[in-house]
Amino acid sequence: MKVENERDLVEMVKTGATQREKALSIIYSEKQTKAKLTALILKNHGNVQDGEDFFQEAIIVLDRNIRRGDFRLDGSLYSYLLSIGKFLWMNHLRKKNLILPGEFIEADPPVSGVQPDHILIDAQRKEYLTAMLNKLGSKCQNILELWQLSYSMEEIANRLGMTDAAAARKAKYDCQQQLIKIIHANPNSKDELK
Amino acid sequence: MNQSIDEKILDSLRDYHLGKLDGVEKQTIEQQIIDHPEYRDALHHMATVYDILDVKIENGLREYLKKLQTNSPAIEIKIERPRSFPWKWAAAASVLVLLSVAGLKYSAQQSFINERLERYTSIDASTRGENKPVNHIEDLKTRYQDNPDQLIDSLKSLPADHPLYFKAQTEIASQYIGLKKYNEALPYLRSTEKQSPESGILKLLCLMKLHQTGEEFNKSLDIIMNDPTHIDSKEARTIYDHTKTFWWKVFN
Repeated sequence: MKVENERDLVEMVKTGATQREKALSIIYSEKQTKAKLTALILKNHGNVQDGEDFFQEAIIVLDRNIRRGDFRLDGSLYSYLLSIGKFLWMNHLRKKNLILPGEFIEADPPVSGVQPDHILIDAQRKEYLTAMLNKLGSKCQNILELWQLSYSMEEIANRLGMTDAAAARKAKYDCQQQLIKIIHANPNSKDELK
Repeated sequence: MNQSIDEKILDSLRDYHLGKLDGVEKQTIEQQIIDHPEYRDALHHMATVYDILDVKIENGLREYLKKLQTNSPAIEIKIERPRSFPWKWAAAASVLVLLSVAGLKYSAQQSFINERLERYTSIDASTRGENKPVNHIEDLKTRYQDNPDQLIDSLKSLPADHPLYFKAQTEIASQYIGLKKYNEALPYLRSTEKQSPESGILKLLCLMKLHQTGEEFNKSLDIIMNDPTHIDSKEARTIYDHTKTFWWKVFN
């Protein structure tokens, strides 16, 4: 896919597999957004390394929201990315009691459409999810990760050194069953409330 | 949930969870979910499966971005400091400059007064139009040149009818000024200002030293300045001009 504009980048992330990697690499190399976020962080108790770290975290959130369909390209992709970064940094400062409401210094007005529940994952739930993931073997983790990222069975087989697509499909099915069983055996209180 | 679910069903449940199904496919899986409790359970867990795999994906992306960071050059950040920040420094710098200037100005004022005090206390009366003989006082000064207290006592011992009495009173004041005892000098200068012309200007300078530049100061300054025959009329004008400066008003 030839990258013409930001819409193409969003489509590439949605397509998954190597297209997603390429799109995220292009988004990461957008220096202006990183510089803007870093400048904002420097004005608000942070340093250059925080700017880099939170730019990367913002890309991770952006990727998740695009893949899950929680993002619609109404304005600029990079403005949205910057808003996520700002939100993450503000949240970080609040957690550390470094900022009071209304104290945050911003260069630009916030972009509408940035919803906190699409950005932050509850720490307790994240802990549960990580624990469940760790119960799964690394081979299964890798197979299911690639499958979730829409890699074809041929690509999964090639990447993970399997004989063919059929072997990858069989392994994917087994791992999927295994994970469902792990979840069933380890219910999360929050999931039970769903 | 011990039963394994068919691969196609699992894929359908996943697609249903992601909202990818419609029409007949959607109706079919919905019916199957109703008919098979284990499908319902699997669908219930599908969101969690998705979230768990997202943790893995995010960890992978985090590593991928770190690699990109290592391979990409550092960005240049144009830092626009918060507006309050430079103002703080500017204000602090202004205060420092103001204090420095004020210090210099205060020092200049003190030099102005000291230089005149030294000049007027060292001038021989004969050079300032004093016609009365001063030899006796000069003798005492020579005798007690290293002992100003003794000199002051000797000068104080001169009787009021002594022809050098007023000169001695002025000299006592000069000696006190030399000892930086301006308060002690003042009564002698007040009592002699009519008789000894230099006492008037010395009194003004002592009052300046003591920052007592109120009514008495202004009145005396006015008299000397507006008396063209007074020996220090011109000097009084200089002092007057000096007291009209901004920095004089700041310190007084």
